[in-house]
Amino acid sequence: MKLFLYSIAIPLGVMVSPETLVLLGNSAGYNGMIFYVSVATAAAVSCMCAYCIFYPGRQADEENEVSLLAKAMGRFPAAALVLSARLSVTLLVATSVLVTAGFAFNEIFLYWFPNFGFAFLLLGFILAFNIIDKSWASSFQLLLLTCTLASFSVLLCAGLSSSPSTNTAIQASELTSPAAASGALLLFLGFDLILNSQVKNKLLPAVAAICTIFTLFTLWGAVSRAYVPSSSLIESTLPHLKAARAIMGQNGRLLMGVIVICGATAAVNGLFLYLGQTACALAEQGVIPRFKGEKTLHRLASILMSVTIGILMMSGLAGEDKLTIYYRGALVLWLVVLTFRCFTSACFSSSSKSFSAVALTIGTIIGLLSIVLVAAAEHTREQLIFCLHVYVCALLLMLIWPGTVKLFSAINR
Amino acid sequence: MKKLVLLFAFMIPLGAANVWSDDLIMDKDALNAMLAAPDLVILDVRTGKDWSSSEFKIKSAERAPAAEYADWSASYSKDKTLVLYCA
Repeated sequence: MKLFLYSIAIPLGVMVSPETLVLLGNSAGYNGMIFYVSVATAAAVSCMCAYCIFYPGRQADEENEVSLLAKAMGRFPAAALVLSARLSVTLLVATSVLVTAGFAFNEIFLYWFPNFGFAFLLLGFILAFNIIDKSWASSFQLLLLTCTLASFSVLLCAGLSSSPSTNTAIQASELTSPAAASGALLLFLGFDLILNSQVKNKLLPAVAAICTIFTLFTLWGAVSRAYVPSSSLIESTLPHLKAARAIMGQNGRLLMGVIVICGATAAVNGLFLYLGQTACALAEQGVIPRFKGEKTLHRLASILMSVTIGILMMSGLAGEDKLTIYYRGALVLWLVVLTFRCFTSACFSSSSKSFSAVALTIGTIIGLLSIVLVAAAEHTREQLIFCLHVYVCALLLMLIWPGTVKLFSAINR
Repeated sequence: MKKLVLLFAFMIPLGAANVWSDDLIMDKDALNAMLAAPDLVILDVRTGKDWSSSEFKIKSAERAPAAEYADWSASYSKDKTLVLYCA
């Protein structure tokens, strides 16, 4: 049970990040039926994708996402794809959500405390836990998630048990948005972040995480629609905070502050934990230096990530509109990884033909949705250029690193 | 909503960096007192997360990204009082 909770904490932490709450709130403002259908469809696609990539009898114990993709794409292109997606998501999500948490703390809790100071404080905590030991970081993750889900539950109970003071139903919008509907898939991104060391059957925690989030987000969407006018949900940059305030007033605001801060920290800590595993998988493929064991590699990856995130925050990236473009681009790269993982499962599986057909179909659906997301984005060209740049840079790095690996091997000898 | 920077339109051509002084900084109470003024234009110069993550947005404020100063500065009449809101 303990291992199951630890394994579910990383995907759930990433899924309840403040960025996801904004996406959820904005989507909830659109036509009600389309919102519910799109969230249910996205949950079903995510479950099927989890089934394809974590199918119990298919995956050998020694296999990881890089080794499986390498069979289909070749070692360097596969490693570059995984590295570009994981690195860009970790760096950009962290920069974005930590700054958001800083603002939440400054504006909701302590007016005199600088928002950037708080963002750096959170980053320091996350780094400290990941350096001390992975088990500390895992326990920290569980604590953060408990606070987030408990606060969410209180808000939901309050929202469901009372009725809104103003009738928002008459203002309900009949607006529809294909981008918002296809974007529902982004709400469940993170279900694939199950650590190897935690459970043998990764499918169960992945599906449990998706079902938990589906229930939570559907209820929150319904409550948000009941308390806040649809147009206000669509236009707001903080729809979750608006809904919380409408439900419980100042107390709701405080609870949502806890959700934003704990959710942001859980998302970054979860990504740090998983990136350590990705680094080990890349080291096993010989495309990055192996160093001395898994723990050292995890610590080094955490330090490197923290320094880079610190530089990104200090450079003022969070204050620029292009952060959202890059962030969305990174999520598209993540969807591309999932697409290829499904295709790889279909092609290199010893399972039945029906399993291969399902994996191919799910891979195609996710691939098509990524295309829709990029095409419907406000800055399609910039997003594509970002994705290509990141991938090409990762590929070049992969091609340079074998020399580094040899050098480190010689030094270690 | 800690500090509000007040710049008069006639000073803008001189270059914002050259005219920076404490006289041009106002607090929220001072702004509140002049909200009804017909010549008042509040410009929210925040961008990215600075703008989207903040709960505090002045309702009548117009968004005017600081980086695009050259584009929007000429579009306001010199008779107007421009208040730039940046943090």
